[in-house]
Amino acid sequence: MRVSGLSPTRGQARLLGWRTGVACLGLAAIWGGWGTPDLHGQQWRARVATRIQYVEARTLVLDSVAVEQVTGSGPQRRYGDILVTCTTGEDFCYFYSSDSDSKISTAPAFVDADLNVFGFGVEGLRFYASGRFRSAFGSGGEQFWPRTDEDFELLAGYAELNRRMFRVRLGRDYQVSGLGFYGYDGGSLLFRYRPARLEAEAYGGWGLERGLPVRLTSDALGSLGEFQPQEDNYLFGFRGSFGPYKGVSAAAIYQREILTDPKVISSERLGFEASYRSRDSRWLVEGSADYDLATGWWGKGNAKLGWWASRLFYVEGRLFRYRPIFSLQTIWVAFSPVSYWGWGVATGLGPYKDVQVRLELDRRDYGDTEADTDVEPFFATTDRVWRGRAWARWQPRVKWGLEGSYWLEWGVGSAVSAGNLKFNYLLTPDLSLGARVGAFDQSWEFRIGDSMIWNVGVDARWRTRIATVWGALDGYRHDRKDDAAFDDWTQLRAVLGISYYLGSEPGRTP
Amino acid sequence: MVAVLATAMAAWGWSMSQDKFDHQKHASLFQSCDGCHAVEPEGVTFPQPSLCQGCHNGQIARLVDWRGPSRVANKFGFNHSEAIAAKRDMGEDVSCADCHLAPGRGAMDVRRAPASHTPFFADEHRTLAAASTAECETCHNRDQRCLGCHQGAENLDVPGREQAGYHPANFLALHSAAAWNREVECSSCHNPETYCRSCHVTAGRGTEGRTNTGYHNEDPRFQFGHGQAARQALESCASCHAQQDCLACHSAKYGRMVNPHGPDFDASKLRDKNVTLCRYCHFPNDPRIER
Repeated sequence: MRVSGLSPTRGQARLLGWRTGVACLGLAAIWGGWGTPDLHGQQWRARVATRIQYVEARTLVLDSVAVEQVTGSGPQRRYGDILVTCTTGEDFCYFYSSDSDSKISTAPAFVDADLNVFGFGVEGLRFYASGRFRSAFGSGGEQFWPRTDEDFELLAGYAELNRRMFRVRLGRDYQVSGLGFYGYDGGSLLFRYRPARLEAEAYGGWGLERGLPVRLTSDALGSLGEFQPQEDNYLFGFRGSFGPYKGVSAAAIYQREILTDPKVISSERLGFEASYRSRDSRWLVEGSADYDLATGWWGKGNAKLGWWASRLFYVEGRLFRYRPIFSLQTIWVAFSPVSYWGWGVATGLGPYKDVQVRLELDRRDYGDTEADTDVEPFFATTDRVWRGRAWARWQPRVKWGLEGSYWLEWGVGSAVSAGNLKFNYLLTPDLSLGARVGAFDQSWEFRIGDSMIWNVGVDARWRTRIATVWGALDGYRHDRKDDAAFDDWTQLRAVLGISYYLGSEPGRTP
Repeated sequence: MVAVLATAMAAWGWSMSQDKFDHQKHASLFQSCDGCHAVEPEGVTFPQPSLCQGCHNGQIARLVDWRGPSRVANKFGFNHSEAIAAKRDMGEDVSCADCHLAPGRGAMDVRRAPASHTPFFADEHRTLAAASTAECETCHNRDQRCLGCHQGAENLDVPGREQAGYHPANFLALHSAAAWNREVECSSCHNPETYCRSCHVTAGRGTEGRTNTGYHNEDPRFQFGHGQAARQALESCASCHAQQDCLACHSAKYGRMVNPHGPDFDASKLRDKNVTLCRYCHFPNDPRIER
């Protein structure tokens, strides 16, 4: 007896016509791209990338069985080889499973478009916009793939005046730094002094949600319910970078997000980065850290030392730590996430003429969580993770080669053992083909049960004078190995995409 | 044995990089790149050593033993043909000077991609990119290079790394282990609320208010023993559970009123920064949050 399943499809409420319209826009753009000759000397440049994926999944749903049909006693009993949960006095026991009845599929489609417009007779004046259209088809529709129910979003869009000593931007922009990726609707002013590679920038405006180009009060965050902010953040910050000598760079950033009442802070963070690369590029030393002024916690930290004889032969060592930093707009910060410290080594080798190898090993140790673990029914998990990886490429000919990798991880949270092998063949200078096989076993705590998933796939890429077309098809088979919740990964996946550009820059050959 | 092997490898690696041509020394002879180089599908072509002997014949100039870059290095190294085509796909025109010449410097002041740009540099570029943004932009277009990965790219399961995707093939199937231990910070590009959670809930992995799930490790006691796991990987919890799920037990207003605060929790500091946060779980007149 199935007692629960998917919630009603929200996508059904949306208009099929709109989705079709978005798809038609992409197809029209493709058609325009194929049919448009080179437009030399135009004062604009555009890039359009369209891709359609096909994804299947068998969702995990709660199922039940009559208590008379199970064996054993206590809260965990068995129905055949399936572990079920029973409550004393209830007629049914429950378990999670996925089967052919729970199979859904969807075909999310995306059109990314970038547009640069320049040459207005004002030196350094430019307009830039980057947008994304989305839609989805299939039984899973817009419910299954993230955000396909939001048809369009503006990733970035600004006017820029860029001169030798300064740069001004107004519009939707973003900052990439050690603090992460933050977007804002506002402006920035940057000064630069090229001889010392000195840059100083002030930026600010209405802040966007982290990792999402929407305001905090947007409907896109409606699922936060009562925890969705009632007003938008204001975000502002200062960033400076300095490169006094060749190979030496340092940067710092301060950023604060506040509400209308400036005393109410969403986040206040500092980040530092520095790197040194020797003149012959053989040595690299780098370090970074970020500090959360709101909580008084250090976040990420990283120190790395690397030595390269060439791109084939190198050795790297690093120390790192990680602690997640949450906005004070969420309750997560009150749950005291702990940090981990770790170390890692990696080396690149070229043991034979046509072989390139990379080996990695690292370890993480979590700090004391101070959680109760020594009194029933509390229990302790582990606090250490080991991870090893090996990657190799064999390239006996320019036209073809083999690439393989293996990843082994064990410790807290989840463990994985995964291997991949890929064959690449360059049929013509413009047409490349690939085939791959893979298998992985992902098991243990908190995750899907111990099982093996096999993968076979092919892909191709064809490059024309103005566009690139690519596609891939992958099949997965899931062999279950134990009695944990059965999350069946047997499925087909596919992707088809095209990207092309229009326009050109004056004075250059496309 | 290991030391001997390492020394041999180092010597071999060193020898591989000894075929560099001093462009600046020859600046007065060669004025453009395409006099000596061309980009072909197999890579960049180099002049024959016999060209050198036109001058380096022991009479006009000393004899040299220059043989050009090794074939192996060319195959494994940066593929110019691929990269130029990729840049053009992304709407960028490209010439040799774009990457190999410093602004305002002579035509033979040739720069090369740093040795740090291994096939795995995408995983490791954070510090260098943040500290040397301007330097990156001499070769990479910020708008297209950064947004391609960082702005919540929806094509998580990119078939083949070379297709301009950040994650390797099969990553969707494999991402839980990487996400749990935060190999990289997922939230730099993906918003957990709209990206991770929506998928997890739809597929039945996340909750929609239920607290009786048997997911995790199928241990019904998990709910009682989850404190350590939650503090170790709170971002993973948040990728399935909504905030209100946790407050069913962890609020001071109702429910089981289990205190979630743990190590390094500084109540007064948080209260001073944003008292609204405290009021999600505490009544306004709770003496613990009153100043």
